[in-house]
Amino acid sequence: MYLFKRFLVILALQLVILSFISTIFVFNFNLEREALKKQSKQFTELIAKQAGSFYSKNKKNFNPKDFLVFIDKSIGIDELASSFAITRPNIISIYLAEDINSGLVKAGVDQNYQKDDKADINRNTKFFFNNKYVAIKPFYINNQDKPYGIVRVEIDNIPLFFRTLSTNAVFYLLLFLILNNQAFLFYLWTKKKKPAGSDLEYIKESSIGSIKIMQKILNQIIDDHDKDKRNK
Amino acid sequence: MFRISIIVFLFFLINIKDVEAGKLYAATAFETINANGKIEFSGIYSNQGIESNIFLKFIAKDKYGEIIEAAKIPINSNSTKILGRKDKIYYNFVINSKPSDIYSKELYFTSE
Repeated sequence: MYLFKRFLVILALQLVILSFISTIFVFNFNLEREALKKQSKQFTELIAKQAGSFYSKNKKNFNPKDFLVFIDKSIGIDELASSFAITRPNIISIYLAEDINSGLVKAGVDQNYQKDDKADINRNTKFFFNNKYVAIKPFYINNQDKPYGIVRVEIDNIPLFFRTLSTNAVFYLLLFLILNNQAFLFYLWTKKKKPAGSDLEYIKESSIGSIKIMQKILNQIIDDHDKDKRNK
Repeated sequence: MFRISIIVFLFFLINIKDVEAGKLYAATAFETINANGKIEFSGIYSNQGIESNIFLKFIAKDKYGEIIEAAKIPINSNSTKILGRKDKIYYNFVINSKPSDIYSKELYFTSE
């Protein structure tokens, strides 16, 4: 029972330490994720601007190859891929407003062509968090008020999760060891006081017993001595 | 024992590598809806090494995460020559599934 109690205390302590480290990890991960979100928004804005410019000139005869050549000339295809350091989008979706309105494609936008956070297509919950970030930006042609289409970019957060974990692993490891050492030192500090108290109690109890015996013996000796005196 | 297992796990994380080693570094693809109402992918593959048989793998999943379409498309099938470093190939393909049924898409290049 004593060992089981001890094991439970150790387990609880390890869980407290790990939950503390997990909190720090979540904080680090959120920082990285916010940076990636910002980068994705800027990236989507850039593509939307280029798409607006391209569609203004080639509205009728749209050819994906021409658009790629246009992007390659204006931004650079290789630069597009290398603009994201950790995790980058594999697909950039360009949907026209007429296709979205007719229900041909699910773009995950509301009536104003802004991102709808509640849409199923914008969410992918795995490992207890939404591991998909979607950036959506409408684009306009010829200074029209209504968007002509949208640019949609999906980013996977899972590589970011592992990246944060692997880059900070040494820090987490050291933190784990230091907190364990601190817990052990605390245990030693409290353990030193406890035996002192219990020893005194033990001495006190045993001393009282022996003093009682000694008192009994001494009383017998005194009685004997008194008897001897009276007999003489 | 518990502590040792955690230390081993953390060391494993330090040395974590890209487990999908077969995947190639490639530029982002563009997705559009063509005149027939089908999803059309187009992009430019820039060869970073001296790869020869390059394939594009595409997986489309529905709302429930089930695969509804998967394709493996050869990128340099028309050319017999080995791709050189920095060579660019334009690719374009159309997928058959209804666009509104697709909830997630995966697209990556492999060399075999």
